[in-house]
Amino acid sequence: MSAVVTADQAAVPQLARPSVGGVLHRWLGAVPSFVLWGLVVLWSVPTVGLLVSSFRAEDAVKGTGWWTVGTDPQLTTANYRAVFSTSGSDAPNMWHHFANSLAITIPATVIPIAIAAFAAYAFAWMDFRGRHWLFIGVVALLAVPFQMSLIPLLQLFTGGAHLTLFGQTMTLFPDLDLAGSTTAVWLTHIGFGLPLAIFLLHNFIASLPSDIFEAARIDGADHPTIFWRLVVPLSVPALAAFAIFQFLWVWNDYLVARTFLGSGGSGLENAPMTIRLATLSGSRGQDWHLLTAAAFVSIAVPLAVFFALQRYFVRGLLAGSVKG
Amino acid sequence: MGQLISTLTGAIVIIAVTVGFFVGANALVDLAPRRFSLFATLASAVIGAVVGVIVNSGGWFLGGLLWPLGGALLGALVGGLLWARHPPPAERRWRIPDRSRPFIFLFPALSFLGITLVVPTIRTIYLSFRSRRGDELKGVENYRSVFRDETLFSIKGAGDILTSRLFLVGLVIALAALAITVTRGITTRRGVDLSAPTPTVSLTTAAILVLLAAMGSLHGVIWNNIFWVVFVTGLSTIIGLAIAVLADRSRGESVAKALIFMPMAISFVGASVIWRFVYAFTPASREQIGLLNATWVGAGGDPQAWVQQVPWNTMFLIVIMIWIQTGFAMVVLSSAIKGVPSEQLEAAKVDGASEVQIFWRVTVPHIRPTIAVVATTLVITVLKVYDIVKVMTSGEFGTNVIANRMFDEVFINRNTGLGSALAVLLFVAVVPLMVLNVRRVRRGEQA
Repeated sequence: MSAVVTADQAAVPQLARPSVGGVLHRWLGAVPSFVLWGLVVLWSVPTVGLLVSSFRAEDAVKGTGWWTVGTDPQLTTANYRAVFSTSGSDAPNMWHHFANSLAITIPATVIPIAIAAFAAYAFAWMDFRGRHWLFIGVVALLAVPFQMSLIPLLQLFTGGAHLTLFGQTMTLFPDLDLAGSTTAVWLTHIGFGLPLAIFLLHNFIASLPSDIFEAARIDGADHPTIFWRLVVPLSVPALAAFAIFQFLWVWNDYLVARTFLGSGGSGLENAPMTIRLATLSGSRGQDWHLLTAAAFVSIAVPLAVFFALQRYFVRGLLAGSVKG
Repeated sequence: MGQLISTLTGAIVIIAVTVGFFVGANALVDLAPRRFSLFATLASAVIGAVVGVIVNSGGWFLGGLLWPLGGALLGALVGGLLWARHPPPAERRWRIPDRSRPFIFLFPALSFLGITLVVPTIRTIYLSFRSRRGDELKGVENYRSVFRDETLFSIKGAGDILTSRLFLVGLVIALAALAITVTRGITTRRGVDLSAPTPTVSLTTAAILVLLAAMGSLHGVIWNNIFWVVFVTGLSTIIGLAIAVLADRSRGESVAKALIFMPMAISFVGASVIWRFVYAFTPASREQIGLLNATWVGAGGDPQAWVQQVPWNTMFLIVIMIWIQTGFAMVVLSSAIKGVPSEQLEAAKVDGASEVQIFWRVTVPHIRPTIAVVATTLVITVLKVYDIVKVMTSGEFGTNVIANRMFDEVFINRNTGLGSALAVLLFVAVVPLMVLNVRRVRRGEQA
């Protein structure tokens, strides 16, 4: 640190000389920083505009640009009251959809962690035939587009799977009649999240030092004991990284929810916030005072999670960047 | 609230079944070495019950419980009376828990993967060779109609590319860059080096211009997908790399990076609403509330409905994805840049290399594998683009993409055959990247 300061001090008198070259050099030296902060401003402005507009009155939002707020700083929370209101047939009713988003996201985040941890441990520390190829299969599944699964899954959740042999109909998968329910959405998200979960957790669990496993073996611990007593407590950072990743992914999902819940009037009952926001954007596309507030409500939770737990999120991103 | 309660009940059931299976199965196989007859009876009963559940089509005697219960009883009798009478030798009994343990640990994950990904993928391929409702075999008819439908794929405009101004300018830049590089390589006798800064930058610019020319002339859903993939992958990686380099060791690095990264946390739907507001259009008689039109009008232009004007509207949608994905590229590349050994950087500095030379000759070669990872991940993500197009234009005004068209084919036109064929198209495009991923992981495992 002190070396850096000395270097700076040494440079100052040199640059302070009023030569044309020195001034030019200093200006050129500042260019990267100008470009960087210019890009940062460019990247932030759209979100800032949304946030500012969501606090402006309807007439103001529709009549003047949000950047005029500096000369006319009249802010109101009326838009937020409007998007949470439940009166009227086309009320945004955002609390209701907020609850739906939670109802989908919580199970879709918690359950795959448990299931993937079992599998990741088996792939990392058990010897069995086909281990290598099964794991390769999981890695391959990381890239499969979800579009490949949607049609058959919808058929499965609305009619089950049956096989007729010798006149007897067998039920391979029961008809759970899940069309239009949040259960269908989070069940699907469990499966779609598993490849990444197994991959991330496997990489972490496999990197744990083998001594501790050998010591536990010598003490007479079997695999289930080692798993619950050693692996689960030690893997908390990796579990957290995946949990944040999956939480953001499911909270922000639109395609899976729309496939199983539809987006028509009747389907909105169980719709998460992404679907509600998209329908608002379609049906009330010019009501910018409502749209901006509704959009901000739907992105508030992921933004809070993101800024609070950015470190874990980045860790998950770096560890799983072969994900599809 | 009702959904929240019913969903939590369902979740608790799933967790209870999974953990119950895990604990129960482990306890069951632990019986095998010492109490083999109990193990044989219980295991056969479980197998009998499962077979009973599958064979039973529901709604029979005793509320459908007859088959599973009967199966369990039959299994218990067979296991207890036959299997238990002929126990395997002790050393094989002791191997039963060890042999079955991996299966018990993997079963929940593999069954979920099988039900939600593997079997549906196979079924989608199967459906893609069948009719609208899947009741008749159609061969490759669906695929043929994908490439015959002009809204999906058309090469009509291909000739226009060659005469477009963008293409000609791009061509001139590319030729000039090549000529200069080749002559310099010959006169300095250092050989022709296309990876030097000047040729790379000018060839990239030329490629962008040629691609824009193609975008102006080629129409169809499949072309749109290709433009999405190429522009988002290319530009997000380049801008992300630039920001990572600019921010590296500069003041306020973490703040700058967090702000660029932030769009990654926002849903595509939320991002689309944010950008619809940026692109908002009001007639010239009124004040513009969209930032882009306000800037445009301020610079002397007429207000434009940006997302409705073919062919450049797709580019305005692509910008949204670049806005989101640049943060991803930046974070991953930034961590790779931090991994460049400082001795190499110091050595280059001592040798008198400039910042540009250090970046080009030391940093870039070191992070090349990471650039490849970022690019493959982006391609896989962008291929499936759906939400942005749906919210911004619903696929109107020539902006449609494969995933959105697939959704419409399945749910509006009720044509699962063609919809499945479109999904398979995405899958086929992903297969080479899948192979790359697998190779990368295998190499990593061996190292």
